[in-house]
Amino acid sequence: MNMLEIKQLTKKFGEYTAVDNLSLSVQEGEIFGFLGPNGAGKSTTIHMATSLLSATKGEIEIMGRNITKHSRFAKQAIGFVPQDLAIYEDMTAYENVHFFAGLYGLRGAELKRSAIEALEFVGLADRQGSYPKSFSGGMKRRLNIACAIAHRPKLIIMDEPTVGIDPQSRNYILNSVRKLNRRGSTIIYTSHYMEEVEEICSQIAIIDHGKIIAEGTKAELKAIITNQKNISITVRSTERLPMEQLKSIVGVNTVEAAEQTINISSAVEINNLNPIIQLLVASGVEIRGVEAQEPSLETVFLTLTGRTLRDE
Amino acid sequence: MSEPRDASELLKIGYKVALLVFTVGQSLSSETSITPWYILSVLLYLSTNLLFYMLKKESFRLLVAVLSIGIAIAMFQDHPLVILLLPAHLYELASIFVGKQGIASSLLMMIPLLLVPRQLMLLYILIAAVTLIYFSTLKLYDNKLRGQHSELERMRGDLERVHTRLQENNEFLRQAEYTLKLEERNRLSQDIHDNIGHAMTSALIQMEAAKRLIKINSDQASLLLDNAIHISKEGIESIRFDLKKMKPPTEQMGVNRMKLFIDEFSDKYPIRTAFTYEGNMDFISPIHWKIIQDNMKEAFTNMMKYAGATAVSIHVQVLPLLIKATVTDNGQGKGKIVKGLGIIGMEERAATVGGKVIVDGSRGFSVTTLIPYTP
Amino acid sequence: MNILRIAGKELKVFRDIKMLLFMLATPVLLMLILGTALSGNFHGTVKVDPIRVLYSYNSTSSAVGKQWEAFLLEAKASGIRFEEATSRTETDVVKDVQNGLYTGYARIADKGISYYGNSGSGKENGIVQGLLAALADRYRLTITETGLSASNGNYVTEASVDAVRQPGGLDYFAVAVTTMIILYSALTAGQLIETERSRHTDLRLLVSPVTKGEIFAGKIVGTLVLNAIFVAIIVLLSKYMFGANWGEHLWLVFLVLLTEIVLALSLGLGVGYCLKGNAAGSVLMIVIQAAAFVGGAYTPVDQTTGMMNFLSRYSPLHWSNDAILQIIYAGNLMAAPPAMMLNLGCSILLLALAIVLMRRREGL
Repeated sequence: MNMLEIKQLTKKFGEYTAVDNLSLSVQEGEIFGFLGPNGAGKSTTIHMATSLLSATKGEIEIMGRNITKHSRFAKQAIGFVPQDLAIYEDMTAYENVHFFAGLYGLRGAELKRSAIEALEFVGLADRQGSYPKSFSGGMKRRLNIACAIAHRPKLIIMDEPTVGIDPQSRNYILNSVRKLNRRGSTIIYTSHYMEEVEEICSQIAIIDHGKIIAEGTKAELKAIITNQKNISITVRSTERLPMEQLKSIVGVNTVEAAEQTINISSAVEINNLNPIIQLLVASGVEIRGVEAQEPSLETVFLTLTGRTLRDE
Repeated sequence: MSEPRDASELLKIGYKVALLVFTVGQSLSSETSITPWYILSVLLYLSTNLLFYMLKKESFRLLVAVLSIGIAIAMFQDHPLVILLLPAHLYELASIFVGKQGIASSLLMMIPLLLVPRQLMLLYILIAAVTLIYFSTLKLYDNKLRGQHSELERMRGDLERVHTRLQENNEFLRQAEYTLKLEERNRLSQDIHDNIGHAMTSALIQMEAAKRLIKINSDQASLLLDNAIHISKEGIESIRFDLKKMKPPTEQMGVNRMKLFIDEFSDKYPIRTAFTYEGNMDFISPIHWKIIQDNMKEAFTNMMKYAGATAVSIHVQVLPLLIKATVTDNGQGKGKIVKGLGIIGMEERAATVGGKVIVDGSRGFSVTTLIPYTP
Repeated sequence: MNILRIAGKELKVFRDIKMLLFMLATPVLLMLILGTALSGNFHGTVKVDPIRVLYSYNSTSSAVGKQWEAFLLEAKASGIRFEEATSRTETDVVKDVQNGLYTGYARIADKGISYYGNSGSGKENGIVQGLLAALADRYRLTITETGLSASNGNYVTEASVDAVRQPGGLDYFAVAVTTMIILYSALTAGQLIETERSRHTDLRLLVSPVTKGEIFAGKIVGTLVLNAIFVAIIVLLSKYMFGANWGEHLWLVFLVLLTEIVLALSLGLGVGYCLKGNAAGSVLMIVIQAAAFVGGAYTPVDQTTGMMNFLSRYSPLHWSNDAILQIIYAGNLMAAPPAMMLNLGCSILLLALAIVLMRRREGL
């Protein structure tokens, strides 16, 4: 079943088109990455999916139901983590989660349990009685997530949840995302950090100027721009190099040998690093270093649009 | 566009007539005397009202609306019931001034309440409310109808455009095929003329000479025949060779045409151009070339209009699954791009083969056309 | 249920002790300052042309007698002649007043002073009334005023049965400052939605399965309750700390105050939706200041004349103050409904405006 289905969605602000005839579907159980530079239309799309903005044109369905016609159902199914911190500074962590979860119809003991559970999930259970002003940026971000997941939504939409935090908190959040996904939630994750998206997302859409310019798994996206990867192996000497055998390994296209390095160009979709290394070891070539260069999503974006994801 | 408006106007006129009939009927049955003035006023009122709907110019309409109200108020002295006619006019007056603000018109409608005699107060409020609701409903339905009308109109236009585009593309394909054939035929006849023609002629001459010499000097004749055989063989070889390389590569045509167009452009305008390409150009089919070229032309037009650029680069790249054609200028660019017809045209063109157009103005102005293909 | 949840969240402000103190200390201090500094308005003596006033002295209390003696001396110094109406019937005296021989007639008794004035000589009358009021205020007497209004030569001569008491400085300002402080809550109401927006929590509220209407209602109910509690505390503080007079019908006074809170909240919301950001705040500030100034927050409206007096009628403060003073000092319970209706009517208009604007807007 499609968790989220967007059909020819357009949003105009006056004359400016922020989202341009965008269609997309997210399957249940995916971690769907929404990758694009700032201002590409990610947030606008997300805001339309969460009914924060109305669409100029097009249709959005959550679990097969139109979100304007079945507004309550759709809202109940979604947990939304906004881009900016959306917590009350004058309420404790627990009260924040408790309040927002309560809006989703949880009551009494169940509400309490869910709130505590959500705080445990993001690792803030021991700080539940503290006020957010005493929190670090990363902790606030985690609280921001806890407020959105206490009601156990089927679909969690995260809008740049890791902006401006330390690497440790970021890892924590990325792990939480995986855990949430394992717990049964479909996740939509927007980011302009290509590493994050590459790391956790099973399906990725690259968006620019309000349009999806490419969509697919990591491998599929990379295959758009190249089908080659480079494996560069540093060795003590290339004297005993089994050239012909190397070339016969599945996927290998060319092998070049200089004095101390071997450059192998290979089909990107075949994982043949192990047989290559085994062969070299077996024929007595001493390996000093291996470096495999695969194209990154950044390269994909750069190749397709001519710009980098982060325009500084 | 005119039908929905007419329908709603007719309904409005009908409503006003009903009101007028009611008030006049009431005054006829009441004891107040019917003076000639009253009749004149009613007639005047009728005519100004008709005038209101005949006039199209806003200022005149305003004038006439005020006039109608004036007449109604003039009658009011003797026939207070006439006040019931006012709400409709006041609504129309309000709609001329402030558009469709329901609150404003309802407030305006309440003004005559100051004049209304006590016994008519409730009736007036009722009529005002009915008028407000009725007219607003009419307006709502009118607007909806009009919206649907223009939507339909727009969709028709879209269909038309897509249709023409499809035909253009088909036409282009046919043309391209034809030119291709023509070019091939030319080359073929040239080659036949150059190589085989020459070979055959010289073989023929040698054979004729051999025929004459065969009785006098058979050795010499057999030498000449050998020669002729050799030449014929070469001719056959050359025919084979020509047949083999008969098809000129399409990629040559596409790239050459691009080059030609770009050169023409840089001759005409003081703008430096650079054209580069990478990847296997064979994958670009004629229809793709056409889209790339048309989009490039469009981009050039845009650039000349807005960018203030001094250089433009065109890059065509064949990726494993996509063809990417980018036109980038070094002009001032534009932060937020409002899509004009040009860009929409490019998008539509690309969309016919499932492609996308990305327009970016952050560094100069760049138009990237991405076209998917199956290798 | 969601409305209550959101309302409950609004009430969490109560935990902010500093804020709480500030909110309570401001009005209490204001009452104290205005009540003492501006009390001159209630005790003033003015030099004027000789004024003749008749009086009869019926008190048996020696304390009152002493004070009266002192007052007479004081009055004499200011050029007002008080003549005792000895052995004359009350009707005669009243006739003299009606004929303009005397400015007025004062009757001093144990329970207070009754005063009959000739409305024909308004200015002098005002002075005498002021003096008597000041006296009464100073010594906690009550005073009855009966205006003699002229119409076609007939004078109204009957005195009212109930004694109308006049508020003292502190009493007056306890009411005026309370109503003014309530008006100031429009400022917080104007920020109600804005604060959610600036904390981005509006997004969270809007994506939850709670309607905009519920959010709106919850926030209003919350602030309403919050302000009501504040006002109750202020009223009780002024009553027991300063001994301000809030009358016997406290519940009714409180009901009027409640409607004024509703009005202030609606005003804040209405303006907050019309104008964005700081503009709303400054416009509200101007509106509140003007309403407070004109409506008698700093000077009692009865003492103003001309334009001020005319404008005061359009200040919500004035009609609320008026109704409350009527309830307290005249026991006139019927003064409450009109003021309450006015407050609620304006609120409904302003709220309707806010709701219309909210529905048009995307987001909160």
